[in-house]
Amino acid sequence: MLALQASVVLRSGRGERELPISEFLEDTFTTALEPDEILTEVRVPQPAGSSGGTYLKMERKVGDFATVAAALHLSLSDGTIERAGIGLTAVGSKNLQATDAEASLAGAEPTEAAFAEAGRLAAEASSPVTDVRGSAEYKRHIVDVYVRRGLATALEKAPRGLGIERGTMEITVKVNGADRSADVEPRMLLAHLIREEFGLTGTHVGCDTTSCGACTVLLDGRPIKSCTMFGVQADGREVTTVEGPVPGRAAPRDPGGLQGGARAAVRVLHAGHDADRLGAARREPLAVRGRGALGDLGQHLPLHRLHEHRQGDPGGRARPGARHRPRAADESVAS
Amino acid sequence: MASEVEEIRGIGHSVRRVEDDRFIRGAGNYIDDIHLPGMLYMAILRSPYAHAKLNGIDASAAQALEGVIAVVTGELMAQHNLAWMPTLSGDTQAVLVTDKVRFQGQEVAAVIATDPYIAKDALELIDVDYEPLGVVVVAGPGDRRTARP
Repeated sequence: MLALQASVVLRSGRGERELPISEFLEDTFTTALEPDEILTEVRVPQPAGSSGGTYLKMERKVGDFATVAAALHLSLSDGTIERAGIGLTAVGSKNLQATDAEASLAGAEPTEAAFAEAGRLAAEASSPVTDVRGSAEYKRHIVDVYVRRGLATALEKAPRGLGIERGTMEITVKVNGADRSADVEPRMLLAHLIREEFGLTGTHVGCDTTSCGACTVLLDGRPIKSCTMFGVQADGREVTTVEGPVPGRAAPRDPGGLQGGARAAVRVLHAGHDADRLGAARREPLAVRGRGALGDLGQHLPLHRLHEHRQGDPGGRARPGARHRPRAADESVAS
Repeated sequence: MASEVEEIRGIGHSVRRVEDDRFIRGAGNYIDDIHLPGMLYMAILRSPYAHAKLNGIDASAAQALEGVIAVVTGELMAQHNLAWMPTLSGDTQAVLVTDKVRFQGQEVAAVIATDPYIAKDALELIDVDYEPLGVVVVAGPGDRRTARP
C-alpha cells in the first residue's frame, strides 16, 4: 500500500477524513485511527501507463513475521520511470516508505545502476534492529538486495501492465488428452473457459467462491477448483474434466451419494485422483471423498471399490440393463 | 448365488439410481449448460447506500461500450409502466430504483451485453448521482420516530 501510494478513509460520527498510508501508520501497532473512528475504505490509485510491481518477504517459516520485506512498484512511460514506489517492512518501528530511493528513480532510465542506487538509499533509510531473526547489518543488506531484485521484477512485469487495456490472449490447453486452442479474455476463469470455449458443461459453477467444488477439474493430474483460476494460467498445461478419462469413474455411483449430481465432478475427480495416487496399496475406506466440497457428500467412498474397477471390472457394478455404459476411454483407463 | 433378477425391495434397502450414470460422466445438462444461439448476459449494478435519493443516472459511457446491447434503468422501466411490480405477498416492489434507494444492494441498473465480462465492465462506466439520506441502524419500534418512508 505504501508502494502504491494508497490512502485510507476514516469515518466517525464527526465526519470523514482521508489520510495517506504513510501518515496513517504511526508506530509499532499504532495507527492514526481515533477511538471513535472506523476505517471504511482503502483507496489505491490506478497506476498510469505501463506498470508492474512485486512483494518480497523473507521469513523463517510460512506465516512468520517478516525478517525483511519489500514492496516495489514501477510506473513507466516512454521507457523512463515515471514513479517508483518502495515500501519496507520489519526494518524500523513502522513500515517505511523509502522516499529518497523513490526520488532517485523518478525520471530515470530503468537500469541496473539506477536500481543499485535505489537499493543503497533504501538500505540507508532503513533502521532494523538486531533480534532473533538476524543482525541489523544483515537485515540492511537484505533491504539492498530485495529492492534491487524487486525493481528488476517490477520492470519485467511492467510491459504486460495490469490488464488495463482490453485484449485477448491466445492459449493452448490439453483438455482430456487433446490440444485445444482459444483466444480468451485474460480475466476469463478456467471454469468459464472449459464451459464456454471448450463446450464441456460437466464442469459447473456452483458457489463462485471456491467452496462447493462443482467446478473441480484435474490440472496436471491434481484436483483444483477451476472457478478460482484464470483460463490463461492453464496455458500449456493439462486439464482433465469430469467428461475425461478419470480412473475409477464408476465408483461414485454408490446409492445416495450424488443427490442432484451438480457437484458430481468433485467426487469423480477426487476419487480418480486418489485411486491413481494410492493405487492398490490401500484398501480401507477413505473418509476424505470430495474434500473441500459442499453438499453431495452423503457418503464415504470405499477405495477398494475403485481398486476393483482398476483391476479390469469397469462395467461390473453397473445395473443390468443400464442405458449408459462407460465409454471406451473409461475402460482403457480403468483396466 | 442369488438370482440374476433384481428383487424389488423397499424401506431399509439401497436403491440404485438410474440418473447417476450421466452425472458422473458430466452429461447432466443443467439449465446453465444449455446454449442457444444469440444468448446474452446480464449484470446488475447495486446501490452502495442503504438510503439515498437518486438524482440521475448517466449510462452513456456504458451504452457506448462495444458489446453492450442495453442499459436498463428504473426510468426506462417506468416509461413502460414496469418499474413497480406486484409481488406474491400482495404489495408492490421496485424492479429497479426509480426515485430513491431503500436498502443497500438494491438494484439500480441492469446491463445486457454479448459477454459477461463486457457486462461487468459496463457496470463500472455507469455514473449514478446519489444523494445519501439518513439511515436507521438500531432496532426500535417502527413508529414515526424511527421510520423513514
